[in-house]
Amino acid sequence: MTCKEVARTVSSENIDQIGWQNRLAVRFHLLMCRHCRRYTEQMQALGDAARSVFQQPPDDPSSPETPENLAKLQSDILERLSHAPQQPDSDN
Amino acid sequence: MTTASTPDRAILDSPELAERIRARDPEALEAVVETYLPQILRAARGAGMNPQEAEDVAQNTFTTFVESAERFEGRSHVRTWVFGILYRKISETRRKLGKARQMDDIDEVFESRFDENGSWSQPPRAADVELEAKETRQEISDCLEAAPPNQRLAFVLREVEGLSSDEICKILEVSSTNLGVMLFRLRNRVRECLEAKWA
Repeated sequence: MTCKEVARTVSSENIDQIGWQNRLAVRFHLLMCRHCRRYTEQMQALGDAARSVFQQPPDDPSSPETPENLAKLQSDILERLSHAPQQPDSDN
Repeated sequence: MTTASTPDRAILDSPELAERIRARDPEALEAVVETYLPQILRAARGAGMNPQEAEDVAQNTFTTFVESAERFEGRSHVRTWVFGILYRKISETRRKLGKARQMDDIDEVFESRFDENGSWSQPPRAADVELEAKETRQEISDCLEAAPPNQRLAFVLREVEGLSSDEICKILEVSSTNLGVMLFRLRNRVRECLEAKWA
């Protein structure tokens, strides 16, 4: 398996779809190739970074994700849903 | 009186959920909204919406969820149903979301990293980054900005919400091959962008 094939497999996350021989080939390649290991680590780091970015509300006080705004939005939505019509209005 | 602060999450997995939603059962609605509102707001932000757009799209998603409850039969999980509505709402707002392009600039950039034998000609650079550092988080947010919203949404559902590939395919109505292409393009686009910043 080439570096290009390994990088594509790792970043498209289709390792479950490539069959056991190819999965083994990817694992073996990663043991041997430091560039592909680094690439794979970068892909994992990207996921970690995304969780770090998104799992906390943004600094912006107008964000609906701040605890106060979230609580208000939630009660607004529940209030609205409690009055929602049983059947959708086809004009809307 | 329902327990406002701790809705019964077990409702979400119960076989009666579809029926209770159709009947506008307040406890069931509260469990759905309280569980999925934060995730929906995160996903909308991930797709590139500003605070006002994210708030509007969340409101509209739940309104449509209740209005279309007649069609929710409980065959897929309620989360798949809710996120599917969210995806269609985001698509309506962001027209360009529509169909994935056949070819993307990043495909060529990726190809250019390898020689004719498929070996690295420009290997990934080593980068000692502190992912918790505020500057790094800002850089990643900036790099995400450049990516199309549907790729961003796929990435956020996978990495931040931790949904399975199968569930994301149902939500975005794409094949697993298409989802692979979306994740491939997003990850390589952001990786290239970060590497350029660290140069």
